[in-house]
Amino acid sequence: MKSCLVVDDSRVIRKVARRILEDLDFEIEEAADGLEALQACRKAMPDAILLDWQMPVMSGIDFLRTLRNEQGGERPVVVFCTTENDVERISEAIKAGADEYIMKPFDGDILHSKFAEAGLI
Amino acid sequence: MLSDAQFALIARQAKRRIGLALKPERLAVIDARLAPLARREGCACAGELIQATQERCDDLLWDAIVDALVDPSTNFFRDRDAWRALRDHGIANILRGRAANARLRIWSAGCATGQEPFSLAILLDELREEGQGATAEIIATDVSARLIDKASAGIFSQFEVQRGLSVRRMIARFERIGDMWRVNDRVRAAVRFDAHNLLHEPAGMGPFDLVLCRNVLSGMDDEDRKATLERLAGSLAEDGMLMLGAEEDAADVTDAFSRTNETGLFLRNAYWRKAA
Repeated sequence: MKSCLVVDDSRVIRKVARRILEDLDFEIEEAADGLEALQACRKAMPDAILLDWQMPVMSGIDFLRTLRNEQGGERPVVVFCTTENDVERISEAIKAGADEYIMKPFDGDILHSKFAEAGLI
Repeated sequence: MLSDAQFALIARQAKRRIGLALKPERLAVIDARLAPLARREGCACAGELIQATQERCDDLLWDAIVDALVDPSTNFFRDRDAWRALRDHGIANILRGRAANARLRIWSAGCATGQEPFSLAILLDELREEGQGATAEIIATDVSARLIDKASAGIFSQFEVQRGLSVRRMIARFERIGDMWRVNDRVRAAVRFDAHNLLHEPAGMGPFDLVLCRNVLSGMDDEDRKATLERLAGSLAEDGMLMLGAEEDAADVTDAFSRTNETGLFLRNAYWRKAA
């Protein structure tokens, strides 16, 4: 069973993502901001990370840049999941090391499609 | 709700006009698909709409009704494995039999809102960038003028553009306009759209190297499916290929095609000749 860390400051979004990803056979951990996510990764690197951009304490993009410089931090497949839909922002995320990118709002089909594109399914 | 007699009437028209075999257990779906058209025609429900056709003897209204019943669902690169097989076996196989500078002719038959022909155009563009593709002319048709209108605009919602496309493909081939995404000029220019009914001869369209007709024939009865497959075979080059939906077969009703090792990919039999 693959593990996925769901990082979003919205409890509702985390719950929706968890339900969809559990149906796709992922074991879910949750974090409410980038710093919590980083602490979770230092304890155990997940196979996948679903990552919001705008969060308090530490943003998604700052988390990703830090993660990719950590020991073993290149391993998790990172899928951004954010309302940011500017092409420049998307390119910035890819450059920072994101593997896939979901623009909110999303549904189960989109999550499934993007996780498949990222080679997670 | 539609009565049994009204369903029978719709089913007869759908088969005669576009070869769509409607199943009675899909009555609720038919009802829902006709609701918007009913409202536009000033009718309270699908039942009233069918009543109106009988009072008005309106042939164009029947065209609109049947058009509304066409299933519009599609995705970019629908069935990932099938597209991988198309690239690695289908297109590779066709290119082996062609001169290096040949221009492929491809028909996307039943293209709905256009995701399929644009996926093809993107795939061929990528192959060319890798130095192994050929130029191609892609002709995309659908029986529904409504769907062809939407397809030819090349504009997709944020939901549509995220179903089947990787983010790299999306930002490489699309531009954002507000909340919508439009295919770039190169991809758009690679595809020519036209309305065409698969029950009619594709006169003057062929010969094609490859025909995609995916998840269309499964909506037909065996008689229409066989006749349509043979019309498609007649539009293919002798060594042309046919790509169907992942669950669809061609070799069960006609000897015009042989199965290949790849699901959904069929070879036209060179010996096959259209009955006079």
